Amino acid sequence: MDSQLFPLLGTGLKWLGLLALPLFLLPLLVLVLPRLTQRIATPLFKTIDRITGFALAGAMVAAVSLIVFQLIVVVMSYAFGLSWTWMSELVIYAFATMFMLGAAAALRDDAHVRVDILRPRFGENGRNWVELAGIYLLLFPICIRLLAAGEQGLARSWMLLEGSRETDGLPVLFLFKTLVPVFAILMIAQGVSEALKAALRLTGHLAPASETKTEEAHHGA
Amino acid sequence: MELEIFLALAMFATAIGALLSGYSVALTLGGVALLYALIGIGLGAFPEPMLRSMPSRIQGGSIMQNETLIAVPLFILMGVILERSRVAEDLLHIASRLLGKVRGGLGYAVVLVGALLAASTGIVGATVITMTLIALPSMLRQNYDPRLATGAIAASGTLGQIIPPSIVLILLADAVSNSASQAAAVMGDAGFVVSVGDLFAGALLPGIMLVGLYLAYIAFIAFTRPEACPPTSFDDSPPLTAKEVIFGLGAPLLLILAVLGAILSGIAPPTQAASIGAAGAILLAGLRLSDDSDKRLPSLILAALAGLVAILFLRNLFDLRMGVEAISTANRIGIGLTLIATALFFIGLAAGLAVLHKKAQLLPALKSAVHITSMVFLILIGASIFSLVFRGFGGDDVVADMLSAAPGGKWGALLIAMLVMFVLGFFLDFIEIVFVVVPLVTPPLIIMGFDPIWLAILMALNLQTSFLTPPFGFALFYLRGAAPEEVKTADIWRGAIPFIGLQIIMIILVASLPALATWLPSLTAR
Repeated sequence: MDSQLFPLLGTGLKWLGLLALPLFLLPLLVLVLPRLTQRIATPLFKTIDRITGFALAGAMVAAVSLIVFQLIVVVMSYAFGLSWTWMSELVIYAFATMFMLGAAAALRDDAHVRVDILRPRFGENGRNWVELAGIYLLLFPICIRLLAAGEQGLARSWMLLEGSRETDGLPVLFLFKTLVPVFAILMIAQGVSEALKAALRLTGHLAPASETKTEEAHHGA
Repeated sequence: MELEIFLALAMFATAIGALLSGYSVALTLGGVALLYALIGIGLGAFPEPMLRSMPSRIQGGSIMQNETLIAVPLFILMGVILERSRVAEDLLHIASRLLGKVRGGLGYAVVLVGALLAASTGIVGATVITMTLIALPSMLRQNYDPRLATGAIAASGTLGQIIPPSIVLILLADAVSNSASQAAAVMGDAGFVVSVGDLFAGALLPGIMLVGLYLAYIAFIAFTRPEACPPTSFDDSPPLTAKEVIFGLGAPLLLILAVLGAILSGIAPPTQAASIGAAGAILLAGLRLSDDSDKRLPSLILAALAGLVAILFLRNLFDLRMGVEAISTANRIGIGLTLIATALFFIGLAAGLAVLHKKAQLLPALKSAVHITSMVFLILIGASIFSLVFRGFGGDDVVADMLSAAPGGKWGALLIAMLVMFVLGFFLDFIEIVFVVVPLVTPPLIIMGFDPIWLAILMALNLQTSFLTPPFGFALFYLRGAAPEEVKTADIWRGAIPFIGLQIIMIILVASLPALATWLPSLTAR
């Protein structure tokens, strides 16, 4: 395979990302010009939510694979005394995929833990402002930093089509490493979607989020 | 130097303030740390290359390739599948029917089921909510003192943290073993290795004793104030059949004992045992949920269980290793039979999944397992950014200095660390404290000469108490959310107090008799 192709593709993707940067401003525009922008905003957050749904489906497949792969490892080594590096690497890959792809869906479904002491007193609007501030000041910087900091290492990994360090390992370590930017991009996209929802709620163009989530969300460990 | 320390402390303070805003804890920890790192770089007080290592840290051995933590999603899967198959409800119903006839019986049932559920799920919120929804109404109907009822439920719900195989103990083991190796590096000692199995073994005795203390307290109340916990006066439901008891009580008990036994006896490492546990949960749930319409699936599941037992036997009868040069005919037959048993096992597993899917429980279970797992690991990511930056500013040295300057020597340092964790437990979850605070305070404490396993058990007991303490205890929040309106919040708070007393007794016991936590691990180590 042409080793120049992937960096080129990567650069293309990066420029695509940079071109999409104005989308970061859309939630703020919604605050200022709700009527003009909500026609773009509503379908956009619905699309992003759907894409996150696909990532969630991937994470759920990874969850089942994790059980099955780990069981195969257990039975093979316990009964037949056999073990392969690539099999244990499959377990690790399934494990990491489960939360790297699932994190954005957890953001969408509000399954990440929050500190609930003052939150109920903020009122609906206050909570939406906190959401907006959190997304712009905390979520976006982390994910952009992850993308920027990982760029060089990832490009090298793809150029070499880096495989496992072990001889009988999986030859796709570069795909495993790609999970980090995929995670960052999914989180950024979901962040835009959540910011849009918060902005639409603040301007009265979206029904308030229901607060009846005692069972599914935040039951910590 | 001064500037760096100031930035480290300001970062800590900002993080706490920002957490109170109620935005996602994981992103708050990571984001605040990143902002301070950028300020630090601007002021020349933070080494920039450190920040560039973020992606490689995430994909490295501490998060994405962390083999210890693979057990976490597996135990989460086991827990949510058991929850979805209503095993918890069954357990509670059967236990309260069996014990309801005696004074305080429902109280005993709640404590025992709490301990069992804890062992199977390890999720405080889930356990407290389930028990509040099922047990509290029937306790109130029988004129239980609401304080005793809510106290018993909240306290039993927190048992999930201390009774193995608890998820937080796995996380704690990871954090403490990192701390122990750091401490060993400083002390120039190849010393301690802390494994998940060690913590499970260490937590077992304190956990069982805690259950004993709870039971003894309820017995004491039943004796001194019989009106607070009367026996069941009427029973209009048909008597329990033997099948119900064996299936509803025996099967989950067997699963939990098998998983725990495999880990503690050293037969299987926690990750492997966890995958067996998840498979067992799928098979049990498949049997529990299947009805007459799907006749073939349950028999497939039973065949899978038989296959599992067969594998265990065959391995001891034959030499099944396929790698060896010459394989005798007998061993060939053995290998063939084992392959058949393995195939049966996996077919049964598929049947179990099929039943779950048919009853519309599989996808919700997987979804909530993905949610909980992502929640845990996003906190790990956020907290590791936080720790990275805090260390970059030299904050860990500040913490170590403060602890070593504590009045009262090493015991004073321990007391301060415990108090800080107790207070943080009011608004942070166990997971955040394990990932943020434990790595900071544990290495200096280990260097001062405390045993890592003993420290970890004390921390677990301490946090468990914190979650039970009004007004901010997590368990009380969950209970309040799920309890009927007529139960007063003040009653919930007062009900928790005696159990906090029991917790403190247990902490003092473990603190003064370290063998309670270290004796079993020392046995399994051999």
